[in-house]
Amino acid sequence: MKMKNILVVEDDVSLSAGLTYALEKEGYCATHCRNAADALKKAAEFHFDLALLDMQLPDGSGKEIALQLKPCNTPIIYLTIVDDEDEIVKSLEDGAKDYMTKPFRMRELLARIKKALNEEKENGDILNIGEAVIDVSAGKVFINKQLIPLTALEYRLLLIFAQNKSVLLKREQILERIWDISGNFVEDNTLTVYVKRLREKLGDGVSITTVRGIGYRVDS
Amino acid sequence: MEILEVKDLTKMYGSGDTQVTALDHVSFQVKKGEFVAIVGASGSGKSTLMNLIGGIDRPTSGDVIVDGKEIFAMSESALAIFRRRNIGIVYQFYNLIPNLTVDENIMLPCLLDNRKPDEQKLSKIVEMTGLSHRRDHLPGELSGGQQQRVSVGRALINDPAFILADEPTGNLDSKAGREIMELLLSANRKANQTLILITHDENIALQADRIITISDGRMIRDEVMRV
Amino acid sequence: MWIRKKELLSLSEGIRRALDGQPFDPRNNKEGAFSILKNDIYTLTHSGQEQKNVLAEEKEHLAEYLSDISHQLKTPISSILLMTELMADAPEKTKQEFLQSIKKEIRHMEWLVTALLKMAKLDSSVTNFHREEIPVSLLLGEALKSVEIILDIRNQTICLKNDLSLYCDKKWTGEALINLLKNASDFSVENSEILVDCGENPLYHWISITDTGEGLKKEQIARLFRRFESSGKENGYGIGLPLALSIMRGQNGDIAVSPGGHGSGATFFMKFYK
Repeated sequence: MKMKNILVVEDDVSLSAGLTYALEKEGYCATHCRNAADALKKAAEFHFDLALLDMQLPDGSGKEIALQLKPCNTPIIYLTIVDDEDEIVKSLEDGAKDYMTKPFRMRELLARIKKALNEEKENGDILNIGEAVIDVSAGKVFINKQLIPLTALEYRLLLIFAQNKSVLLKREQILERIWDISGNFVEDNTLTVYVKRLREKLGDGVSITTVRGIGYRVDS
Repeated sequence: MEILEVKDLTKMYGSGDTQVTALDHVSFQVKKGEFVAIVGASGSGKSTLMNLIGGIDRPTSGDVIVDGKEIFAMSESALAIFRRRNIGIVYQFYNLIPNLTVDENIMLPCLLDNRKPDEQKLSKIVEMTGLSHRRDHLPGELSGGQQQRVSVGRALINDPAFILADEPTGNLDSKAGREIMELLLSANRKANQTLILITHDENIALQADRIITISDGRMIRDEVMRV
Repeated sequence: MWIRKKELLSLSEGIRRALDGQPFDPRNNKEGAFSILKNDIYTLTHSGQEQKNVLAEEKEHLAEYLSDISHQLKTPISSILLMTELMADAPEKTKQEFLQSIKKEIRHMEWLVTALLKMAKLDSSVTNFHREEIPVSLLLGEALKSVEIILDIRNQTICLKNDLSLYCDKKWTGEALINLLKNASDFSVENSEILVDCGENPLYHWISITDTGEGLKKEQIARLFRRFESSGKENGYGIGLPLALSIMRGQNGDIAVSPGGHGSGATFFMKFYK
């Protein structure tokens, strides 16, 4: 399958290094530009499947590059430090596919890139894992059409497993996805307790494998 | 510039062997819109402080500067008028004029100035006190809590530099007391009305943005509760 | 009433001086309409000065916020610096631990910067509030999404006693509510029910949150709304409640505390003035 080309226009050295590394690790081909002038040149020469544009560039704005890319219908995701709601709405109305405020989680950005490139494999509203069917919009879980009552954290854990099928998830990775930015950190042994509860409630419907000393894996 | 500045305020009574220092070099400033509670036990000097801030008594030394004006540099009569126009006082025992209606009691500071208050403003204040349907009643026909609410209305009518409230809930039951506090808090937050409240009740003091503690005539603590 | 021409001219000159920015206090505290006029003129010419005072104060406040951010960031930055230095030749397991700690500290800094910036904006009144009629049950439902995991872990539930519609900014009010709920969860014992109620009186609409703790002592109340005094990672690193207060005050509201005690938990009231 042909690799997708992503144009990354970001002037910060560390951020762009991290971005290109992450994108290439994910299987994309990343072209990095540090300013608007370079980006406009590249945009005129090559075709890109998606563009990640920093709004604030040393010699202009990401919007100028977006304009250049408009005729090719390249989906645009803006990266910006501004979190003004009105600004965001305006950009989206002007045609941007999506918008990420810094600081952002790479995981989140990759998910949005996939979405913008229409690479989603499953219907986002229903997730399957083992014999469990998760209706994400309703927040409900069913096994063999039976509703399984899960507490908030149990549900979140199952969701994390379902979004990472057959992936070995380290304990720390799981904990990170539950942490609250304002400081309510879930402890490690809480995780153990809740996985145990989840196992009890799901029974044979979902098989959660413990990988000793590392984490958990759930296969479909 | 602060709306109130208390500078090195001292009050002594008597002389020689029997001299008593009621207030000992107290200094602090209050900004516009602040809600300050002055707490102290009985005999701590807080009442003396209140009388001096309100211009009701004169200090042995020190100054009280209200909205830029040194109040003790004025004559007695000028001070009385200044007080009427610039300070709103709420007493523990309401101090309403018994033969004036609710409306008239609230308007009193204006009437004394031979002025008619703005009708809209008067209505707004009457509404705030919750006595819109009792405007023509006399104090004798009102409960303690209602009378105190009229008293608060009277203190607000002139948009004073600050309201000075001396144990405003002291003579009321807990429900009426809560209502008065809500009324004062509402004026403080909505109209940015500076409020200085004297109390011995810790629970009331804890509602303020700032607590100044007086003990033995001295200011022993000035604690900001809410930034 | 007899007013000397000289007095009128003097008043006129004083007003011109005031317009020029110079101090002018014509008040003479005498009886009579002319004295009252002088009072009114003072108020009028003084409003400009007041605005300047307000601006100066705001500048002071902003400086305080900047100072706060700078001080508060120093500790997490020091931690991160230290850990990155130690990581270079640490065993793999320790490296992972340090990495996790670094991530925690970064989240801490993110929160601090965001919260302080919000408070600074709220306090200088540059925030646009989009007010609408919204039922408390809806506000609570939204807010619960952010606290349900904490409640789950501590096995706590929330019970809404009454419902009514109030006029406020949904997003900001929701944020204030989340901080108050987190606070309530923190102070409440495990396996208990936190009570949320609402109502109105002639002065304001209100939402109350009652925890199942032991009530608050005076010293605790004093610390609640001062920035960075309530220590601890649990409660928004000491700015959760001050932020909630800024949000309410910015919206013509307030937060009041009833300390509880003697077996009763504390109650926090969100007031929405009419």
